[in-house]
Amino acid sequence: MKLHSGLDARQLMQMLGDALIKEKSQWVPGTYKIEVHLDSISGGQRDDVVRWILSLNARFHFSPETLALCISMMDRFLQLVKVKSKYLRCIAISCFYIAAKTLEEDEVIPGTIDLVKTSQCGYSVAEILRMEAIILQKLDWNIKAVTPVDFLHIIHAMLVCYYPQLLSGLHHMTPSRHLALLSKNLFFCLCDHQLAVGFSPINLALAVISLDLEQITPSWLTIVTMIQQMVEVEVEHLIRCREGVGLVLMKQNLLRMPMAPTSSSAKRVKSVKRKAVEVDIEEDVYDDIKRLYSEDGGLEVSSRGLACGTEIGQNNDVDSYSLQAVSAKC
Amino acid sequence: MQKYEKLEKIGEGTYGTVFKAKNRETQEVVALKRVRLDDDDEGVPSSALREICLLKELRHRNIVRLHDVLHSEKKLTLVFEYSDQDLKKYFDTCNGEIDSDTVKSFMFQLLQGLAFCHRNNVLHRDLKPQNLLINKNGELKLADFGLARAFGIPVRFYSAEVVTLWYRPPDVLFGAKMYSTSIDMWSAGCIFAEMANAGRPLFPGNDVDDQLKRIFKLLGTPTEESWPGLTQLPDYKAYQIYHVTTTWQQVVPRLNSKGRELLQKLLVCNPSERLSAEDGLAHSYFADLSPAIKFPDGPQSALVR
Repeated sequence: MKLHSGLDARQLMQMLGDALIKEKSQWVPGTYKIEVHLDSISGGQRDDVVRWILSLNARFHFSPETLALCISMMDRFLQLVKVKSKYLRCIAISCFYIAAKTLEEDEVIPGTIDLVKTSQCGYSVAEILRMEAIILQKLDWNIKAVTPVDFLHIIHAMLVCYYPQLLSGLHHMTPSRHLALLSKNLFFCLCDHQLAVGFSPINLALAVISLDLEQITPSWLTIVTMIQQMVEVEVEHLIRCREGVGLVLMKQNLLRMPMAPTSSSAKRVKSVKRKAVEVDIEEDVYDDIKRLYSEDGGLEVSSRGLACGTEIGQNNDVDSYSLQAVSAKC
Repeated sequence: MQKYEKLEKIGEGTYGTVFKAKNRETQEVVALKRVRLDDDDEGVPSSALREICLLKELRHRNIVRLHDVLHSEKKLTLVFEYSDQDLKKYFDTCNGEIDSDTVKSFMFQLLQGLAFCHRNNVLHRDLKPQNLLINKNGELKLADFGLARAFGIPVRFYSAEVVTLWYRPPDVLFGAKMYSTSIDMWSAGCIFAEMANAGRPLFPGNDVDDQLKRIFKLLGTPTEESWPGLTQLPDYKAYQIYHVTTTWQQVVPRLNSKGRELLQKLLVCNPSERLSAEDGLAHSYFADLSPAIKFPDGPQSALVR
């Protein structure tokens, strides 16, 4: 099967291989402090600022790639440099601006003055540009990095290629819509510092995908195991990451069904999925296969979902899912 | 700027002045592209950011090499490998005569550089003779990635305000925003014809309208049958139906029949039918190309190309 973008399975494999090589040369695990100090950034503060950036995007409408690059750049900078918390938003908005200038088209990149006004960030143009220069210099102009969104796109496209029947049992589900749901889940995870800097981009993307597959197909474990071996993520790392992702999604009520490792009934799956879709996504946006992976994007969804998500009551029913099945079978 | 000794001004790029310079330590000659930062409030220009990001990842003999980035408060300097001239200046020096082997060699190298970009998911979007550098060893390199962009799997709408008019494909002239690698292949075709005619541009239009007319006069006006989706393009409007009256032999008299065939496969109005760079390289026009150009790293490089 050829995708709308004209890529075939061979090209996707090559893209995956290239992205993995880049990740190997770029990615190092990081951590944030738990406690709040005046002269350092805590994990909680980092997560708040990421949520703020994602909410800003309701007005700027940048692509998920741009948002993911912004978050990746900010995390890399914060892991490298000790900064006072009062500069955190300035760093975030500067990363947002650099990411947009790098990946977006000139017509949609705001001027710095517009950026300041629209974001109401409270910093001056001069402060943002000074921060821009510092970030670029500290990162040695290595702006680009492979992000979990890149891997999500590649692996999702491979699933569409190799398992064209995957979504056929789901009501009103198109590949575009499915990708939008996955992106939304992934952005919730990127708002969690432990997931965002503790696990490699490929691991995080695969964890998000595997939790979703578990809900839509009984053969999820075979598929996930195959990908896991192909991308050489350690089983233990994947299981730990999946646990973290499960917790985050559970809190957002995005993982309604207990993760049953075997024989999930298609009917139950259907109703869960349909509900999720109807709540979050306008019907007309994803209706046409021709628009597979078109401009619609998960980003608007993600920021909108995020805004609702924080209001949704927390679900502490964590015990209802378990990963033992995975560890046993892998 | 102590590390480099400025020698002379070479020209003006899209976003700054270009100088020839020498590394004081290694004596290596380089090109410095200087971007002024003080006269606007936008910080580092997007074109410079894109160029730096993309060229850091694109390392190939037919793509200009970015050696270094120097950043001070008032200016940003990109340090590139030095080339003696660009293809446009090369045309000026050849007085209407260009050797057919040189055309073949340049075209092959152009396609090599492009195939590498496309394999790495990069669209150049501004191919023209001024942006192709030629050094004294006859090597051709793609330069000026200020309008280039990476493309991913999800198809997105890109800017239609790309590529210099004369080298812009008909779909983009009609406002198409969902293009891919085919955008560069049209430009490559235009450049191929221009090389074969020793520097005479193929479609030197004055505006979008004139540009499309020139294209359709040569290739025939496309229809919904020959190009499904044509009439749905954002800026589509009906043009007079031109029928093909000129032969390719008249258009590029000095190009042999295989070359003409390759050219025709590049200059196809319907973007989905335009030849890819990879397929262009395999075309029989290049069958008798000197092995030194085909496999610059020795015959074994054929296996890994």
